[in-house]
Amino acid sequence: MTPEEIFNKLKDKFGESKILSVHNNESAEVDICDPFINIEPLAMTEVAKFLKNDSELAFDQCCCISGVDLGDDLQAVYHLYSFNQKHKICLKATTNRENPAIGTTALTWGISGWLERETYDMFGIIFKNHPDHRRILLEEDWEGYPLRKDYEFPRYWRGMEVTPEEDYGTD
Amino acid sequence: MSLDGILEEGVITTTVDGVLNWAKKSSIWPMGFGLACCAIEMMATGAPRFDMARFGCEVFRPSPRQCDLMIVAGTVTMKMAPRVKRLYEQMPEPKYVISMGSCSNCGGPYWQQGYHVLKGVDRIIPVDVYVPGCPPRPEALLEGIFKLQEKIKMTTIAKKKIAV
Amino acid sequence: MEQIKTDLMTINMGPQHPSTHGVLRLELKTDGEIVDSCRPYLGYLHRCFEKHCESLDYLKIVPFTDRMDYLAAMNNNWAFALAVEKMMGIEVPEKCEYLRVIVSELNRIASHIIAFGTFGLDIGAFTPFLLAFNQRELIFDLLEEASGARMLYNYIWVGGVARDVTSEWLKKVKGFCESYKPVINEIDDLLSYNKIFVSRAANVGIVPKDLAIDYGFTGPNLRGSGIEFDLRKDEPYSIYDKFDFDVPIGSGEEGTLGDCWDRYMCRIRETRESIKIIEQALEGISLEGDIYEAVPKNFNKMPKGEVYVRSETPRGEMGIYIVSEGGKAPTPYRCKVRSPAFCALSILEKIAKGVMISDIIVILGSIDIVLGEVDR
Repeated sequence: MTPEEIFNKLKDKFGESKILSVHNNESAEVDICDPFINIEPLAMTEVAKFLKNDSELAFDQCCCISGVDLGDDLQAVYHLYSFNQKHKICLKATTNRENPAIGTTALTWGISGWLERETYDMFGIIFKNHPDHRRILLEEDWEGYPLRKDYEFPRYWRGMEVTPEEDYGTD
Repeated sequence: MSLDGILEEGVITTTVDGVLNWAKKSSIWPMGFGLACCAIEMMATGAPRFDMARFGCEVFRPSPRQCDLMIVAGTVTMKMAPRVKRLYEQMPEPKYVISMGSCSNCGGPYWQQGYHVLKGVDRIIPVDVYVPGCPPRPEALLEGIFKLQEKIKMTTIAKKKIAV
Repeated sequence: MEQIKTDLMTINMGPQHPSTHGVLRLELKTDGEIVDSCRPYLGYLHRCFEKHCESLDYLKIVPFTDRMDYLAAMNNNWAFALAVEKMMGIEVPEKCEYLRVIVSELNRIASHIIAFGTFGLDIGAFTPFLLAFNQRELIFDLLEEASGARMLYNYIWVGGVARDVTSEWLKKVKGFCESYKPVINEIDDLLSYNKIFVSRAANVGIVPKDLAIDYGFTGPNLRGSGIEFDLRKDEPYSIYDKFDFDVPIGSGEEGTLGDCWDRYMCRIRETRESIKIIEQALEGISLEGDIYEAVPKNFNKMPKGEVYVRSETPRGEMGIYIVSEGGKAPTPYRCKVRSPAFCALSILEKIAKGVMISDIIVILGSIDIVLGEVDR
């Protein structure tokens, strides 16, 4: 199925308030991009469930979840692939920076559990109803979310020097 | 009365230091402990082409309690650093540390943006020999072991006067 | 008989453990020898790759990709180069494409043969390790001659390759291919069909098809579960459509479909296919032409936008997601790596229940993780 068809199918099912828009190269006003669909962040859980279970869509693997820091907003980008139908799609859920929350897809795809934990670890996006919502790469008491653009490197962590003095504060 | 030649043939005379150091340096047992890329080169050093066994240090032990030498092979991250320190403390005396590769020498390529990388393992444990490279070739690691053996040969059990 | 009440015991495995392939920590809750639950803890090798990307020029990122999956550095270089090339619309000269195929497939063999050696080591067979490292040194000699480095090459650049090769080198590669063929039989004799090995690996850690897809298995792991999917065949990138090769899949030959033995055997059979590809590439390559022709001098013409490119590394599908702000910014705005080993490892929580402690090691060995790539 083409991205437009997928978009229409989703829109018929969930309505315009949850499935926001579809973009390709021209409409997204960039030079190059794969077609993607914007989803209302908290609707992600039910949309994911439908994407997997519908026999025409049958997105059975979640390839990748990437967080992106857009400045004012935080975004999670989902790349899905269907082994059955051999098609793929990219979904984007944009949430605000102060109170970032996206519905979890961990109950739909097994792999999402870890990918979402990684996104939380790096960007601080909360995935609602995630069954095991912890940091995955960094320790639990690590402060801040390293891949946010405004992240400041800590000087010390548990008594160990993270940033050597000569470098601290200079870029 | 002269003592010249009173011993039978085949008997060697030496010092206590000499014997102890010879024993220490000839069978250094390293810990089978890899952190990152360098660990693969460390394994290659133990494998047939380079064969560390020629120099008496091929017996990789999984437990720190049986080891003399810790080869810190790879990037020490913040999360790993307390464990590295713990492992070092578990080793019995005398113990030696070789820091293998740029990452464990000083942070290496991860110096600037590496918020999770310890900038040199010598910030948490004492290091005897540094082996540069990213990753060092197995020959370089062998050279590091020779340097360590030379260092062991120089030690003495006698108390030294320390200049203040 | 009266029921005996037992408590679960917590066992900590790693981060320093000879069989966790690096620094992985597992927290096992066991009932005697039987594992009740297994909780992996990652991040002991988190080296901030993605943060580095945001402050480095595209060409300077290539050496960092080497250090992610350090057993298959060429394939990682290539995955990254593919993404940036797609973004900039670079046409790579045909000679470079052939060179890339040759070095990557050589590296794939090196990686699979390490998987074989360490898998043997994990379950207590020491000889495969020695055999594997001997073969690997032969490959390293070739790659060193081509790139100048033994393990982390920085060879495949955006738009080309770093160094040219000579016709003597090609002859040596040909010689290696010939010498490698009997080794596969030796491997089969030594380990694959060894009675002890089969009883350790067969019927252990069974991953059925649907579970494999659900938990993001890719590459040899997925094919071990009986799904014929190879990005080189199904979504051919570069010049893979020119080559004739098979995709070996698991069949449950010695046990159940999708067990550890199947995954292991897929890897061994894949090396044979890699040899086939290399031989075809050696016939097709011509040494005429400039290798730096398409290497960009600078990245001022970088378009604004984003790409997600997948390619097949020895561990599975490596996806590179790059977001670029366009011309003025010389660095990616965001670069995310979809690591195949990270995804494959997530299944451990699921299938660990009810197996023996020693089987955990076999499962870990069979999904062939590299912690550098899991944690990045």
